[in-house]
Amino acid sequence: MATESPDDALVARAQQGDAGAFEELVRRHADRLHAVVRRLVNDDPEAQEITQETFLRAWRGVSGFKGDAQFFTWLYRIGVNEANRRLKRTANAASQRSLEGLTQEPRDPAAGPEGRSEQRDLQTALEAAVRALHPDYRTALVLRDIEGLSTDEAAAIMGLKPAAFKSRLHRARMSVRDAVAKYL
Amino acid sequence: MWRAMRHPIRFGRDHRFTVRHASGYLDGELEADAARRVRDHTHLCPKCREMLDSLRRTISSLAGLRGSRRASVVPDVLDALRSDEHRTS
Repeated sequence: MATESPDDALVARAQQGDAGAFEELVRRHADRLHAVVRRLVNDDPEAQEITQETFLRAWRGVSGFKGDAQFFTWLYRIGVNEANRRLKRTANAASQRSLEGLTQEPRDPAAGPEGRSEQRDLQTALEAAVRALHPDYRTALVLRDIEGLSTDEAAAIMGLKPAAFKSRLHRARMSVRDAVAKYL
Repeated sequence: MWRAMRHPIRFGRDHRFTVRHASGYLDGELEADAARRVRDHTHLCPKCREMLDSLRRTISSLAGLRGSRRASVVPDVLDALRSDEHRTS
């Protein structure tokens, strides 16, 4: 049983059909879920579509939510699964296009001080390295290191045991580290 | 370093252990004995020191990608919910 969370009262009301309570859950979680999904699919309109779809499914399924996980974990799992399903279906075509764009991006001739330019190079390299990861590894990295969820939360969203999640996260981090080594 | 030369097998095991558990060490998620093993080995091994340092900077830089806030999607999600035919009144 998950520990009590601030969402519990709203979830209980939503399970009784209280649309206003569910709308409050949307206000609490939609933007952060959208940020996660956008990192995964690398396409803003598609991320918005997935976010909407996630909440529609959650609304339809909330009466069956048993509370054995936190609500946001359950919600994120719906969104992450949908994002990864689409990624696998499209063979990551959108990410590859964006990755090519990023790696070919010319240096800004009006760049400011050298330090700022190096910071931007590192950020660009990081973005590209994250996008180049296999979706299973990218998801672990996005949830834990970019969005700052705990290991237990991120593992629960991915439906993994913490040990398996940590192994996946470590491989993802090492891969990104190798890709950006010259900018560190 | 002379200790590593005297015990090359143990050094090799500790090296692989450190590489495998570097993330757990940096996240503070290792048991005390395991963390001590990583710390002791890193003290002797320049490669692992460099690896841990670059991994730490990578993780820290990844956190910097967070927070590029865009326009809120909340209004669109609420619109989609309100127009969903499955919604109860």
